[in-house]
Amino acid sequence: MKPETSKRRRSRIELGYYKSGDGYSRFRSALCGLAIAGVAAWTGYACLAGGDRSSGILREPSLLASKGTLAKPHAMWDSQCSACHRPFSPISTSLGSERCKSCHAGPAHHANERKADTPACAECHKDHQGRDASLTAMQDVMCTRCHAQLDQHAETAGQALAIAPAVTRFDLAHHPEFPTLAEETRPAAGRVKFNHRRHLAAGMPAEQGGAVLTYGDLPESVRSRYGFTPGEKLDAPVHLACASCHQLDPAPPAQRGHGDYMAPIAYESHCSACHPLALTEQKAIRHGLPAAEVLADVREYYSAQAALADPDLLRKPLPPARIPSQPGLQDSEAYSAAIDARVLSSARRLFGAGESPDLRSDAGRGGCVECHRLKPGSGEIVSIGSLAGIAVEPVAMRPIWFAKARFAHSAHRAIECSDCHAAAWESRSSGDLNLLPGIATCASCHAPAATFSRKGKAGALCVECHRYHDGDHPLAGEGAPARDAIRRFSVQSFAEGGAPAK
Amino acid sequence: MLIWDRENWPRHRPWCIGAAVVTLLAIAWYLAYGFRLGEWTWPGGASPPGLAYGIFGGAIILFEMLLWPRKSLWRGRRLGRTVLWMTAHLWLGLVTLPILLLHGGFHFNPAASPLAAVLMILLIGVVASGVFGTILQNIIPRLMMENVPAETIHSQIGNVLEQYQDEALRLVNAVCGVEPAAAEPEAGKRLLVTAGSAGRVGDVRGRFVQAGFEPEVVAGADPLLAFHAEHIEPYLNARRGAGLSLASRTAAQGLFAALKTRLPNEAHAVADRLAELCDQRRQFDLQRRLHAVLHSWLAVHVSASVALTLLMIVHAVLALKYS
Repeated sequence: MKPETSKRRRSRIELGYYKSGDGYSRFRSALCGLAIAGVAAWTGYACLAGGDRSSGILREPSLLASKGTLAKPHAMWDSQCSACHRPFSPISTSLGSERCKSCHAGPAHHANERKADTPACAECHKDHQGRDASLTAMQDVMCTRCHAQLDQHAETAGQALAIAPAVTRFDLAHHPEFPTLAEETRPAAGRVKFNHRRHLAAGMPAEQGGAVLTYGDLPESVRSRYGFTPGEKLDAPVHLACASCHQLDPAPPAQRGHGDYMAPIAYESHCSACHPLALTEQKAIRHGLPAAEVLADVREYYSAQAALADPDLLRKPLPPARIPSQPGLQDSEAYSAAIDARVLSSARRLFGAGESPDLRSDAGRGGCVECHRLKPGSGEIVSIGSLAGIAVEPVAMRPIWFAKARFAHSAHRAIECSDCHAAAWESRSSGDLNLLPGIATCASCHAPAATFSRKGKAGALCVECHRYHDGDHPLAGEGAPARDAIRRFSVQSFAEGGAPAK
Repeated sequence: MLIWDRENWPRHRPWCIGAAVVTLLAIAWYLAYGFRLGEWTWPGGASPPGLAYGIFGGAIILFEMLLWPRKSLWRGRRLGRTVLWMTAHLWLGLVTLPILLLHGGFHFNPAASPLAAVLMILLIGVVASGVFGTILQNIIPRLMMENVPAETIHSQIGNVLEQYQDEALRLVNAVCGVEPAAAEPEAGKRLLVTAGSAGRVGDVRGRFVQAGFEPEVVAGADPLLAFHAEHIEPYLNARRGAGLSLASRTAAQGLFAALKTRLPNEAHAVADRLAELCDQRRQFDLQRRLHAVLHSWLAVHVSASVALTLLMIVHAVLALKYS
């Protein structure tokens, strides 16, 4: 038989065979239809599920558009993109930041910050990182991109910079010493005379020797606060600890975090037990009064004592000028002179004796000048007339020393005080600013990962201690007027991320 | 679209080099942007490189999808050479994978963003199926050419087999002296005297008449009838030839050799022709299997591409709206 030719083979093929698809093309078309239907169903569900069609809000955009769940503060708007996003306006631009500013004032960093370098909110605060993500924790690069060369980012070129012009990371080589310790920026120390070394020694003896303070010398009500334990002998020396005077402040200044800082030292709470300011056994000087009021109080006391000693004294006239012929004037003058002498003596003890070598004199312990300084020009106390110039210098102790950095004692409460304030045990003057830790102390734990191994090292990001907004009050706590100009919303408007209440 | 072929590789080489260069440049820009502040920060989809890659990748996807209307709707119009289209389709499709992975930041977590995860998975599925298909396209056609010399158009296999059935029956009836009327065709089937499909030449419609021979009756060829009824007809008529007696070439050779011993010499030519028809049936079976392998991946590739394109549009609109 002849083999089948190609012509013969071709003749078996139907013309127009290509017009109808085979099973594979039909299956393919069916799958494509299924894909289209699936996409339409998913998109439709995302747009319409549980939504308010009239408002046009995508109630379930997280099925389509979300890059991830929002952090807890913003979680209630997880399904409302429009609460934060302006349609077709990138959020990482200044225009896109408008929605953020409906709730957050976001004060400027510094007045001299170059406008072109001012980032949009979303450039630093990146949400969609999950429920437990922090909106304020960010990499150092967001800060160092300006602070690495700060002079190039100042609006006014050449203006002297108050802080280091180049900061790139938290270590001794790339971050300046704290302003409280650096020579050129060291602030004035508080004007109070205090010897930490002596107060931390058992019994608090004077350096040149002297009596030791025992628990028997303290009022019973305060003994336990200064370390007295039941069963201990009253003649045991008083041994102070840091916590005897320094307690965490539950109501901190400038509305910073609770427990972050130590409460200010108050004479009545922390000093009066050992330094009673007793003029006599019956008379104590009130702490905190101006010198003139103290002296007036003293004069009043002694005048009262004179009147008590001689009740007729009050019935004797006191003419404005001395009349030699009038009887009884000599007694009045004698009483006046005696009172003046007493006042002068008290003034010398309170304001003029300097540091008393013996804290436990019969009349009290040291007077005002034991801890305070007199203002310049107060002069020597030589007569009653010279008392008019006596004035005590205000203490001016800073409640917070690191004004531009945040520190939480509560977070460090597991650390011994001496590990950071080692100098206190040798400090003889409150003017010793080395009582505060320097950067080396902090960097021993708060070190960048590249410097030390990660194991056991604390965070060293810029935001660990610093904040960006409101450069003049960078660490004002929540609710502080300097931090946020809070706007008020109705509940419904807030839930929808809408406009403030009128 | 042979790639691993000395003749075709020169055409693919510039595309391959271009794709590699584009990929490396994209990676370089991505890394440079991520380290621009000194520390690594992942460039998002809205960052300059992310946005550029998204636009570029999306444009490529739209171009890739144009292959569909070009083939289905614009058939007959010359819109560039098919080889050029396919080469571009291949290499630009490969480039989309790294480009769009960079654009998406390698987001695969469906809990974080279902749409991004689905897009990534679809992209990988499309590219992977395309690569798989390309590999098949480079292997299977050669196999078919070597093992299926009687290859016909796949959709016409059934039609051709019907004609083979008719021819076999006609041959057997002619040799054995069976009247053609005994095999009166049913309504809708072709007449035994023709062996061609419906055709048209100008205004004339008809069927092409086979230019073959009409065998004469051969005495003693009755075993052919039984053999045809027992082996040939079931085999040619079966939807799937596997498992039948003539499915194996070796077995078929044995059966036909045994048949010939029982036939007079004048009938051997008819037996050979019948063996040839069965052999073509075997080739058609192989062709069907190879065709299935060669084209089944396309269903995944096309449907995933459609889903990818539609979701890409949804993503682009939403991303621009809520960037």
